[in-house]
Amino acid sequence: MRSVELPPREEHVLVCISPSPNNARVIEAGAVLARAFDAKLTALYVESPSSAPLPVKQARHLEENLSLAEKAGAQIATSYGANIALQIVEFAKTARVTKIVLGRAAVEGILRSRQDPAGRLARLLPYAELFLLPEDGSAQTRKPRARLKSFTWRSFGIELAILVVTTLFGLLLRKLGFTEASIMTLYILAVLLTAFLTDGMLYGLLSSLLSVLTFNYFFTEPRFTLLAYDPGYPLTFLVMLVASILTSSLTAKARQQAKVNAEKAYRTEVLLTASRNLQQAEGTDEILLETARQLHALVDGAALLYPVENSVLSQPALFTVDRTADSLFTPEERAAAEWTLANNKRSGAGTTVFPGTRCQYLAVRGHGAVRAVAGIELVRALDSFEQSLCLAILGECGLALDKQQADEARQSITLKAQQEQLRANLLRAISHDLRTPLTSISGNADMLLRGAVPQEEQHQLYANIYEDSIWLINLVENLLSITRMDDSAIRLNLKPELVSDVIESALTRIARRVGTHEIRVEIENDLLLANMDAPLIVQVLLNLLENAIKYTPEKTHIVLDVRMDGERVRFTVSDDGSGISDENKQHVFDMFFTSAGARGDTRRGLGLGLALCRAIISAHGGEISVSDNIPHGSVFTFTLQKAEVHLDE
Amino acid sequence: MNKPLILIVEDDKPIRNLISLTLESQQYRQIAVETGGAAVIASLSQKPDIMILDLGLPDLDGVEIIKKTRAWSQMPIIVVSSRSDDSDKIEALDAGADDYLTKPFSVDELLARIRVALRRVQFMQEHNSLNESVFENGALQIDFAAGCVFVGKEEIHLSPIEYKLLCLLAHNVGKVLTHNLILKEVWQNTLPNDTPSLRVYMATLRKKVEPPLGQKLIQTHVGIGYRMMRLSEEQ
Repeated sequence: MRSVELPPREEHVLVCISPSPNNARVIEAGAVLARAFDAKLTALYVESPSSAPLPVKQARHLEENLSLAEKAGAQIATSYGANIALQIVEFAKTARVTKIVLGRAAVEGILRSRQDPAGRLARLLPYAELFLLPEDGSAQTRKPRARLKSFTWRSFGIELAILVVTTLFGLLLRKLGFTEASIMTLYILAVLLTAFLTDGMLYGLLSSLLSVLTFNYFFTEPRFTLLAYDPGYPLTFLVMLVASILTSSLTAKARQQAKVNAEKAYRTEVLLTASRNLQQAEGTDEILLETARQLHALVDGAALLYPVENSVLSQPALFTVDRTADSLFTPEERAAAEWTLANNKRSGAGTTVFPGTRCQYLAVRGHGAVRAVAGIELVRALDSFEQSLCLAILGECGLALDKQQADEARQSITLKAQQEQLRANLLRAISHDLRTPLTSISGNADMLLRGAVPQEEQHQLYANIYEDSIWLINLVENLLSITRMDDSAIRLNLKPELVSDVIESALTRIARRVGTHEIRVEIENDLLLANMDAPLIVQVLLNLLENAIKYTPEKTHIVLDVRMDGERVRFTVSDDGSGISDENKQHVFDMFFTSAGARGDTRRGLGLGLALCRAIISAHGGEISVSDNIPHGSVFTFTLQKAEVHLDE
Repeated sequence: MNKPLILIVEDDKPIRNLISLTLESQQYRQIAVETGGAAVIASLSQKPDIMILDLGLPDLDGVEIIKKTRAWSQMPIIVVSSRSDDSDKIEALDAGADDYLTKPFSVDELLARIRVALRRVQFMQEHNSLNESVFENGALQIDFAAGCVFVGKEEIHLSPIEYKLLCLLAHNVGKVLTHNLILKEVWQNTLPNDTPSLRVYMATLRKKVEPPLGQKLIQTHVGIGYRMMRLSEEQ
């Protein structure tokens, strides 16, 4: 199936950044356009690996242009590629750009063609509108092919030394009878060495010129003059000059290439590490801390990240080595960070907004919103390479935060689906199991109303009605707890409660159902407090005691024991009944599990009680488990967080 | 003394019948009404000794009825609630109700609550606790003037807060007092979330008073509050 490219819906303006001073006009035009169409504005800078590094003046222009774009509210993007036009086209396609603003001269330079460049670009991008601005002085936008670096004595010294050594060696060779051609190759080697050992092409050129002159002076007839008699010499000089210029420029290029490659490799490595670490980070906090760590490694100063929650800055993640962290949280720093959040623009040190702060604040943008605000302490000025790296890391951070949010949303949907499933199961089980006791109650009552039951059997019918209604009451209590759990799924009403009070409450409520069983209570400390939602824990105790009564023979013993276990309070309910088989132990806490071997005269439960216990205890952050009692029977254990109370009288 | 007169306010017929039958079995006199309006009129005209009040009435809010009744009468009010949530019971207790029952309740429970309420009526008739300088409940004796507490002949030493708690419960013997009310009365200007300390003080108070008495004096209502029980004379 062929994919069809759909026209993008939202307006998105792209301006291309170049180191030209005229570029400011392009950026301004882009900003005006973006405002007019209420569009997103992106500033793209394409760095070409083949190009030489920019001279100081142009680098400054580039930085100025980048910060101008940032001020205009543009998102800065950097891309790498030899073919600038292709990079722009690719970026425009993936970012769904609708309008591109370019300087005419830049377009001509990019497409290396003076014939209808706009038309070519328009054909490459059928869905984007193209705006070309006339620029004067197109030569200024051209990058110089090579850079003529300022003169240094050190390089000049190296050059002279090489020349002197070569000449001396040449004189020696001449004495030994070598031809002039061999000596000439020696000079070409010297030019090559000079170009290799010095910075920039100036010395290479100078060296070739001097070599020719020296060669002429020392080795051609007439010697020790700058005259040449042989008609072949001019050609020799020319070849030598061309050869030396060529080698020198090649060497210079190779050096530049190596430097660019090294920077590129460094950038790739930093971003790769950042991206890998951010992907491994779990949760927003870790992502922010990891980003802060990366930024810190890059800029040497402190780095902090304020997460944005409901459009408000919350507790920041900080990464710093020095101890003066407090001064990063002054009201002014905070105000700068908040300004960045509100305006989605850079602020703080190095900008015109809150320039007095220690940090520069940048927005971390995710999908359509500011996800966080990063503060970078500027202990030194950052060059454009480091700045673009910072922006790229923040971009990674924004992506990671977006992903995190999407993950959380997906998780909550899954959870909701599970809860829905549980609710559906519950309803089915209830409607099925309610019928039995209701049939018994209505049938028995009907029989009694007809008056057809002999006196001696009436009592049994009354007893049945009573038992069934008690069963229904217990069921309703558990169901109520389940709805309570649902309501408070986010937060339980946890309060420090006196353990002995809660146990007393449970015992009072179960008193009528104890029958012939004997319940013994052992509480290590009457004043023991535990954090709990009391009605829910009473329900847990009721269910455990109820089970212990229901599933053990009459006249057996049940022990409820409570003791401290470090920071926890451990409750155990043990009986000396027949115990639970290992196979069943794995399932007792599952919902709708009922023991198949239950005694025949007890109505089977819904399999809700223990599942509810587990849900309640885990919501409290505790644990519940079952084990064997010695010599026989079972022990149910659960733990709760201990609570402390400070009395001051 | 005449057989006590009990006012039943309940709109659900089977429950009204059940309560009615239960009371009949104990030979209590009774009036049964279905609405809040009728309850107010009946309580004014017939002056019952106890009111059993369902909180979910069709015409008037149960808490409103309690407030109206409390304007002129101290008769014990037992509220009956069908909601499992504690907040409506606490609201009713704070409005002046004495006790509460949660549906479904058993006949035994209902009768026990009525007996507690009747003992409270009797106590209030015999002692005008505000003017008395000595409070007696079974073997427990509080001498308000001297600030001493005795069980039998033996003096019990209480901390100031424990003593204040005991006095507050004694003045309201038979009545369930909510955590909020106790905190307000005893701690006065502390934050209302100080319930954990209340729990601990109540536990230490019980530890000091109950062993010499040999029986339970203070009932704990988890999530709601506390009540001092009227100890029967023979024990």
